[in-house]
Amino acid sequence: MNATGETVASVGNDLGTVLAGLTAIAATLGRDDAVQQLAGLQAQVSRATTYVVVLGEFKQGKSSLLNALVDAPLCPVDDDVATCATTIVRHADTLEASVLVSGAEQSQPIPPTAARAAALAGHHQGATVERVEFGVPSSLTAAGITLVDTPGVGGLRSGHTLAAASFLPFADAVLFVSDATAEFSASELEWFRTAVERCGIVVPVLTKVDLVPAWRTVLELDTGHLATIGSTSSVIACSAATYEFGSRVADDDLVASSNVPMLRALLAKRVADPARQRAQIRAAVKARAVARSLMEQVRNEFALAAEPDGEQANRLHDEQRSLQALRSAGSKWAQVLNDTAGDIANASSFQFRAAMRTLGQSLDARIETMQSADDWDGFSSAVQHEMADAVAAVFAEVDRRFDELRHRLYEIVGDDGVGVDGGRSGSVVDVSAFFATTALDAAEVGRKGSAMQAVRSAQSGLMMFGFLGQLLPAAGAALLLSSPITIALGGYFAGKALLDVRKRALSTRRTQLKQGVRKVIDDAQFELSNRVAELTRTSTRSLRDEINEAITLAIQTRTEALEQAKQHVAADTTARAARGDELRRIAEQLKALDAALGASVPAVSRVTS
Amino acid sequence: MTLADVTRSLAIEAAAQLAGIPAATDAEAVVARLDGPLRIAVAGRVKAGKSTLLNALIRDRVAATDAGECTKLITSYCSGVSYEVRGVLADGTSIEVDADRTEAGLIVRLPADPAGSIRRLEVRWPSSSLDRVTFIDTPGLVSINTENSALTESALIPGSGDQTDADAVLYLMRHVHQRDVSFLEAFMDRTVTLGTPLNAIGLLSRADEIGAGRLDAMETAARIAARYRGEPTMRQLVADVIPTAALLAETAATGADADLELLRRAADEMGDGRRHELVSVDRFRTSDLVSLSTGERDHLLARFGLFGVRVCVERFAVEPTVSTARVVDQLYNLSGVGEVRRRISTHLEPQAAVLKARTALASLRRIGHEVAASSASSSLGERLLAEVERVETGALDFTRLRVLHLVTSGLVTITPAEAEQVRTVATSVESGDRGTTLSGIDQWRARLESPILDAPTAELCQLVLRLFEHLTWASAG
Repeated sequence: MNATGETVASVGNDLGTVLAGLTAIAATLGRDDAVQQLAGLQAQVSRATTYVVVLGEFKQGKSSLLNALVDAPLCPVDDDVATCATTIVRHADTLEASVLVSGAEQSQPIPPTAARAAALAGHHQGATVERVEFGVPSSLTAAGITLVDTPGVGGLRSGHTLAAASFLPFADAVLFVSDATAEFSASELEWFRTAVERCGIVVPVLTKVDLVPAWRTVLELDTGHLATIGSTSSVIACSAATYEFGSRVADDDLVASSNVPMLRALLAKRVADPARQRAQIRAAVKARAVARSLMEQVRNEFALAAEPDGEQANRLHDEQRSLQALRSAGSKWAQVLNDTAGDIANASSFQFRAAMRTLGQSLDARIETMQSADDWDGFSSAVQHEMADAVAAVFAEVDRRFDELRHRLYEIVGDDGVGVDGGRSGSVVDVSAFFATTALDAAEVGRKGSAMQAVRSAQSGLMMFGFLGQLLPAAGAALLLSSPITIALGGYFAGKALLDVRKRALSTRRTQLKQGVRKVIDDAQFELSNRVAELTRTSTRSLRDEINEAITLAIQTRTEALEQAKQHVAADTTARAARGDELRRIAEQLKALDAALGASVPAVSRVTS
Repeated sequence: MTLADVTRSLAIEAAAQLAGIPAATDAEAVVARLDGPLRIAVAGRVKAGKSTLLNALIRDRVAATDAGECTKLITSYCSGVSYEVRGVLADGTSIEVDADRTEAGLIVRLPADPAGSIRRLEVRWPSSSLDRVTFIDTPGLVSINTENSALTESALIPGSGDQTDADAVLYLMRHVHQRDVSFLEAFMDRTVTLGTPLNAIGLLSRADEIGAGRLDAMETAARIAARYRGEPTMRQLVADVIPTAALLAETAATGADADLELLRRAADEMGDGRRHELVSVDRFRTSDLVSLSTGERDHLLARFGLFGVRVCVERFAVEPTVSTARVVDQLYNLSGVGEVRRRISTHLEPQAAVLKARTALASLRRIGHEVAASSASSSLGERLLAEVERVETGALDFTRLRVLHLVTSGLVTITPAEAEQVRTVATSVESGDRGTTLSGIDQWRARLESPILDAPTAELCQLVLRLFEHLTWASAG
C-alpha cells in the first residue's frame, strides 16, 4: 500500500472505532434498531463497490490480465477462441460462479469450471450466455473493486462493440488493454477517446511485454498517440505471463517486474480509495444521525427523571403518536412517494420514446443517403452510440428525479412533527451533507456535461448506492439485446458494394434496413420500459424502507427514553443518582463521538475534492 | 487463343486506338504488365509482419523493419541485374533514388524536393526469388496514419487509383479481424469479374506470438489456421490459411551462424534454469546466468524474437553439439515460409496467365471508364468497355476458376464423386470422350432441375454445363 492508501485506511479505522463506540452505547441504551443500523454502516465502510471495466480489441490479453489481477484462473484464456460473454468478477469468501443466459430472469449458480467453459463457448445448456459472474476471494475484490471483462472489439463474429460500450458509463474506471506486438491502431485510439469521454478514469495498459523485445518503443509510440488526442495518461507495461510464472515459482522479483502488483495498487489508489472515501462520508453522515438520536434520548431521559409526569413526558407521548401516524399508508409522505414515482415512470418512458422517435427519423434519413457497404460501419456504430446515449439519459433522469423526491420526503416528515421545535430536522438525517456530496459530483457533471457523466457521478452519489446492482444489468441487457439484431442488419450489406447494385435492389435493401432499424428500436423500447418500470419500483421500495426506518428511529428514541425513565423513577435514590451519573457519562461520550464524526466528514471531503 | 492472348491483343489494340491521348500510356503499361512477372502484393494490418515476410521470401534483408510502423510507401520488388531504387512520380515517370544497404535493410533517402510527388518505389534487386514474381510491399491497413491506409487500398484495389494492381495477394493477419474481412471482400468484389479466392492466400502471421511464444506455439497456430480454413467466411475469401513466423525464416535466410553460436553458449550457461531465465524478454536481458553482453542479447532478441531464442536454446540444451546448419534448417521449416513459397509455386504461378489477364481486364475497364468520361473520346471508351465485357463473359478460364472456387470453398452441396468430376472437367483443356461429356450434360441438367437447389449449387450446375457443352463442341469441331 502506498502513502495515500495508509491515510485512507487510518481514516477508515477511526470511523470504525467511532462506530464501535456508538454501537456499545446503543446497546447500553437498549437500542437494538440503532445497533443494527450501525452494523450496516460498518459493512458499507469496509467495502464500497466500484466497477472497473477491462476494454480492448479482441486477443489483446484482457482475460489473462484480469486473471493475474485477481490471482485466479477465472476468465478463459485461449490462443484461438476469444471470450464472447461479458464476465463480471466480484468479491466472495470462496470461489463461486453463476451464469445468466438470455431469456432467463436470474443468474443460476454453476461450478466455476463450467462457467469458464460457458464464457468461452458463448452458450450454456443450449442457451446463449449473456453474462458470467464469478465471486472470488482476492485483495483487489476485497477492496471493493468489481472487474468487468468485456468481449473484445472487432472479432470475426462480434457484435460485441456494443456490449463493451454499454458498460462504460457505469464504470468507475476503464483498463484499456492493448498488446505490445503493435502500436495503437486508429480504431483503438478511437476507442480510447470514447472511453475517456464516457468514463473519465482510463488507464492504458500495454500487455504481453514479456514476448516483445521492442515493447519499450511501442510504449513510447502509444504514449505519443495518446498525446495527440490530448491524453497525458502514462501507459503501464504489464506481463500476466511473467506474473503467473513468478507466482508459481515464488520469485518475488519476477512478480514485481510483471507490474501486476503495481497496477493493483494503482486501481486501489485511483478507484477503490476514492470510492471508500465517499462511502465513509455517507457512513459518517448517517452515524451522526444515530449519535444525535441517542443523545436526544439521553436528554429526554434526564428531563423525565427530573419531572416524571410533566410537560416533557406529554410532549414525547404526543410526538410518538404523530410519528406512529406517519407510518400509516395514508400519511402524506407515502402518498407523495406513490404519486411522484408513478410520474417518474411515465415521464421517463415518454422521454425515451421521444428520443427513439427522433433517432428513428434521423436514421431513416441516413439510410437514404447510404451508398456503399463502408457506410454500414459508421451507421451501425451510430445506432449503437445514440441508443446508448438515450438509455443513459433516461437512467440519469430517473436518478435525478428520485433524488429530488427523497429531499422532498424528508422535508415532509420533518414538518410532520419530528422534533421541529428544536430545529432538529437533522435528527432524522443530516440533509445538508447530502447536498455537499451531490454538489461535488454536480461540478463534475458541469465540466464534462454529458448525460453519461451524469449517470456515472449519480451512481457514486448517495442516491445510487443501492441502485447500481440494477443499473448495470439493466443497461447491459437493454443494449446487449440489440447487438444480435444489429449483426442481422449488417447482413443486408455484407460484402456487397451498394454502388454496384441496381437502383431497384438498392431501394429494396434500404427499405429492409429501415424495417430492421424499426425493429431494433421497438425491441429496445420494450426492453427499456420494462427496465425503467423495474427500476422505479425498486427505487420506490427502497426509498419507502429508508423513510420508514428513519421514522422508526425517531419513535424508538422517544419510546426508549420513556421506558428508561419509568424504570428509574421506580428505583431508589441511590440507583437514580447512579443512573444520572451514567447518563452524564454517556452524554459526554456521545458528544465526543459526534464531534469526531463531524470532524471526519469535512476531512474526508477534502481528500475527495 | 487463350484468355491471356485475347487480353493481350485487346490491350495492344486499345493502346493503338487511344494513341494521342494520355490513356494510351496506361494501356501500354497494361501490355507490359501482361508480359512481366506475376505481381503478388503483401498486405495486412499495421505490424502484421509484411516486410519481415518479404525479406524471408526474397531471402535477403531488403525491406526495413522496425517496432513502429515503417513502410510508408508502396514498394515493389522486382528482379534486376544490380541494386537500384527508383521513385515513381505521379505522371508515371520515375527518378533514381539514393539508398543504402544496411544490416537493418534498405534505407531509402527520398530527395527533399519532389519527395511529395513520389507515389511509390520500385526496387530492383538481384535475387533468383524474384525471377517469376514481383512482390509489392504495402503500408498497413488501419494505420494511425490514415493516409498510409488509403494508399494501400488504392494500390491493391484496381479501379480505385494507382496502377499498381496486384494479380494476387498474400494477406497477413494475426487474428481475423472484421477489418481484414472487409478488405478481402473489397479485394474480391472489385478485382474480379467472378469473385474467387484463388488469388488470395491468408497467412496467420507472427504465429509464434499467437501461442504466447511457447515452444509449441507453431502447433497451436497450425490448429488455429485449420479452424480459419474451415470458417465459411474465410473459405470464400482466401484459398488457404498458412501459419507463419516469418522472423525465423528471415533470420535463417540471412546468415545466423554466429548468432546461433551465441545461443549455444547461452543454453549451456542457463542449463536447467532456461525456462526461468526466458520467461520474458526483460528477464533474458538481465539474466545473471548468461555471460552475453547487453548488446548481444538485444541483437539476439531482435533477430529471433523470444520464441526463436526459446526454440534454439531448447534445441542446444537437448543436443549441445548439433550443427548450426541443422538449426537453421529447422528454423526455416518451423517458420512456415517454405510452405508459402510452395503455395506460390503450386497455386499462383501455374495460374499466372489467367490471374494477370484478370488484372489487365480490370485495368482496361478502368481506362475505358476514364476515357468514356471525357466527351471528346467517349465513343472510344464505350467501345473499349464493350470489348472488355465481351472478353470477360466469353472467357472459359474464368468459368473454370469460378467452378473450382465454388467447389473448394464448400459453398455448394455436392457429393465427393461429383466434386471430383467437376474438378476434372474444370482442369481439362483437351476435349474428352464424347460419350462421357454428353452423359455429363444430361446428369447436370437433371441436377439443375431439382427443386431444392440452393443458389450457389444452381450456379455451379450452370457453369459445369457450360464447360461440358464447350467440350462437346470442341470434340465435334
